[in-house]
Amino acid sequence: MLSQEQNERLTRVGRGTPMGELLRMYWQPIAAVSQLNGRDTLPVKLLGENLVLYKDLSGTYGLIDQRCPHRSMSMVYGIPEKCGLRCPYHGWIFDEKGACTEQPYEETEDPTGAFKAKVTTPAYPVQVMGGMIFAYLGKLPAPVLPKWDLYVDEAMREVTYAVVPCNWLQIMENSLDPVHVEWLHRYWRNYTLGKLGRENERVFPHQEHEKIAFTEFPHGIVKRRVIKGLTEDDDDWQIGHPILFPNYLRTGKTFQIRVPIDDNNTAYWWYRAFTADTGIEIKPQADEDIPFQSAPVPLLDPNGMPQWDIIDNNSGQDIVAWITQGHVTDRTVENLGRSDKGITMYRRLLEISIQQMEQGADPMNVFRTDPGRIEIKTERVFWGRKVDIVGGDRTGHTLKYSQILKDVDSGKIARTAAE
Amino acid sequence: MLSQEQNERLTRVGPGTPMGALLRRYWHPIATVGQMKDRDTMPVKLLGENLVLYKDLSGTYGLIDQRCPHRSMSMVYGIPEKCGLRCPYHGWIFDEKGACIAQPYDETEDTSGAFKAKVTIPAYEVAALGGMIFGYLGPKPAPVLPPWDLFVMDGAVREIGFAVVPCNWLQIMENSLDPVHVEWLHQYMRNHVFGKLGKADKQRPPKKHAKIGFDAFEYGIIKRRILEGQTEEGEDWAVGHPVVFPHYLKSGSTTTPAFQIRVPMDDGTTAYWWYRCYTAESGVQVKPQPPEDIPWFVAPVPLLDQNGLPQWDILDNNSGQDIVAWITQGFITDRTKETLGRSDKGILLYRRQLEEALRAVEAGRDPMNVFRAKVDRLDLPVEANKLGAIGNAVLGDRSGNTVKYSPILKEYDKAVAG
Repeated sequence: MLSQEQNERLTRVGRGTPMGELLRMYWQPIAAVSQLNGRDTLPVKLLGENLVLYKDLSGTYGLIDQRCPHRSMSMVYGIPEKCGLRCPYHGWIFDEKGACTEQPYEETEDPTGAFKAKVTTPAYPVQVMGGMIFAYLGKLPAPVLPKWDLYVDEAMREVTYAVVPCNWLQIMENSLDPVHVEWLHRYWRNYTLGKLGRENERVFPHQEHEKIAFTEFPHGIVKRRVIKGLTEDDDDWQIGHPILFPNYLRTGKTFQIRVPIDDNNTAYWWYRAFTADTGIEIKPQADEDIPFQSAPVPLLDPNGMPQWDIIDNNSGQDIVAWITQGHVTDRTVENLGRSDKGITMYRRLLEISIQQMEQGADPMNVFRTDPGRIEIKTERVFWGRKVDIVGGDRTGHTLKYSQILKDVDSGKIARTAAE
Repeated sequence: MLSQEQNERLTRVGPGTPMGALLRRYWHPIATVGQMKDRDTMPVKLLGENLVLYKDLSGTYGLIDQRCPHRSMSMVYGIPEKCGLRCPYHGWIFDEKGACIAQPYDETEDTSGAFKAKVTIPAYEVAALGGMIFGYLGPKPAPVLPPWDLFVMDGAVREIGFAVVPCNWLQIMENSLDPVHVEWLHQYMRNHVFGKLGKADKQRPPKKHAKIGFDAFEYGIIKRRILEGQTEEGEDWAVGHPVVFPHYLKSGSTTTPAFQIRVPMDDGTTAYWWYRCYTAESGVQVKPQPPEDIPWFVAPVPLLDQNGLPQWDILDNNSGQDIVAWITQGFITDRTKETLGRSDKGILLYRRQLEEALRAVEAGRDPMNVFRAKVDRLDLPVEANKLGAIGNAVLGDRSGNTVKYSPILKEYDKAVAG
């Protein structure tokens, strides 16, 4: 249980809040490169700030305030120029550093152009890696963008996205809670399949958790479990899988990234890399060709009924849990038990990191020199079954919506012998 | 740049606010006569007040509170009677002066009907002119409903367009004091939109502003411009066109003049009226047109689609482009953050006129354009030649404000094709 003050401290992400400042020390994904195919601008809301991502005619990305500083029209309607984005209202141009580089009518009356130098727009650095565009909203100089393995390994990639209408922290806490898998993704899943008349798909028996544990490692927390019928020698305990501080979960060949849009909304990214060992053919794939898809967010239908057809998969089930906890769940009324010790550890890590930041130190995963590719280990055998995202069942997070798997099924992408 | 207090003073329109008090000194359009042809009641939100406009069986218009004073059911569901509007809940009737004239069950118990005299409903004056219905929410006596030229001129056919724009009225008005945006939003951005729509053939080079000017006149402000290649002899400078205080723009040209009227519904919403006249010189046949036959239309309001993409197909015309500018400035744009330059001097003049009028009302005087003596017609200038070309909404291009949606022009095109 937290006090109201503690809950605010860990959840609020606006500029000037403790957590807002901590999260501003990290590069955050804001778009897939392929999302900008066929469009010039993309509205981006990040950590409570309304921004616009654009690509100018020279191919330079910029991330600037949505509000034009002249008379506040939205730059989402901006026109890309050779260098920078032009406001459609009076033709002012801003470049990716936030400088005002043109004010046509002002320059007509005053050819010295002195007014330009007095006007800037907030602008943030942007970088591309592995087909994702990342932004940094914190104090300069920006740290190094870390090369987590899936972003740089040879692979067929795809990006899935959803806007989840709740605070980011309850989503992260779910990743420190192994026991919910047994219930939300097994028992309730079977119930959902019953509603859908798909009892035959109830493939997982109910397997009880006998033991759970959490270990801090240099990049976050590894979570481990022993499932009934398995032992400490199995991968679920020996290897487990981690959350990467502050807002990544790594499962199989997927990063699940929870980027706060504002206090009440979270951009959810599933970044998946089918490496050669997943058993599919690896073909050249330009950043622009990486499939991008939106996952549906289950809400109650107009009659107040659950949308059973999109809660037949882990992500649908999870999202219902998170949303119904409330926009910012009230942690003054929670009752944490033994299943929740990972959550307590994670909150402690957040608190320590805020304190480090407040003392001027860099918290975990803020890199000032390039560490190169960072390898992250996950189970090879999960719950006693070999991890097989291509040949296995498709209820794991958003595999249901995977374009790559559709292409594998239709033969557009060949299967190879898995390692 | 304004302080937060100044911004509030100029934008808020509810009862008891300074701007609300000023705007209550004027008649505001609330509906068209044609709109009321096939309906009994119309919900009207005006200056933050929820009202209902009705026409009773004798043909009398009334504008009363939406809330029945008995038990608050909405009078939008009211039943028109020979005189007045009956509440559907318990049958009480209110007339256009706000008097309660029937209370069936109360009169059954107390045949004296004494309770009626104790009950009233807020009621406001209504008048019709040129096919528009106007309401007056201010102190009595109401001033004269001004016969601005387009409402009363002969030799024209008319049409009326409407949209609900989700932003404060003042940023819409300020746009009318800003000639330079035409070059960018309506020419450069328009070309960009045509590119998106695969209509590159419709792109044309923007006309650069060399000079802009603003003059206060009897009824408001005349705005003037000189485009590159023009001189002060050109009509864009010599004639210009006016902002009629407090919230009209006269636009178009002498052959197809139009009023654009921005009526605050509440602080964050504006009823937008396009009142357009086609004269014989425009090429449209001028026929007798009773007020109830003046066609009206609703113009679409562009928002971002569900992928966050602009709705390019409705951004190909001036009004669509303007509306996205206004909406994206914010419900009430934050003027503590604006950065006004030389292109914005007309805005400063207009804000000064508003401030003078606020002070006149505070001092108990009538502000500009409140008329106490009857007049037949009030004439306003507009260019024949605009932006260096003959203004003709019929034969020319149809990107000017909402002519894209014009029912008169649809009829015209059908007649030409037939």
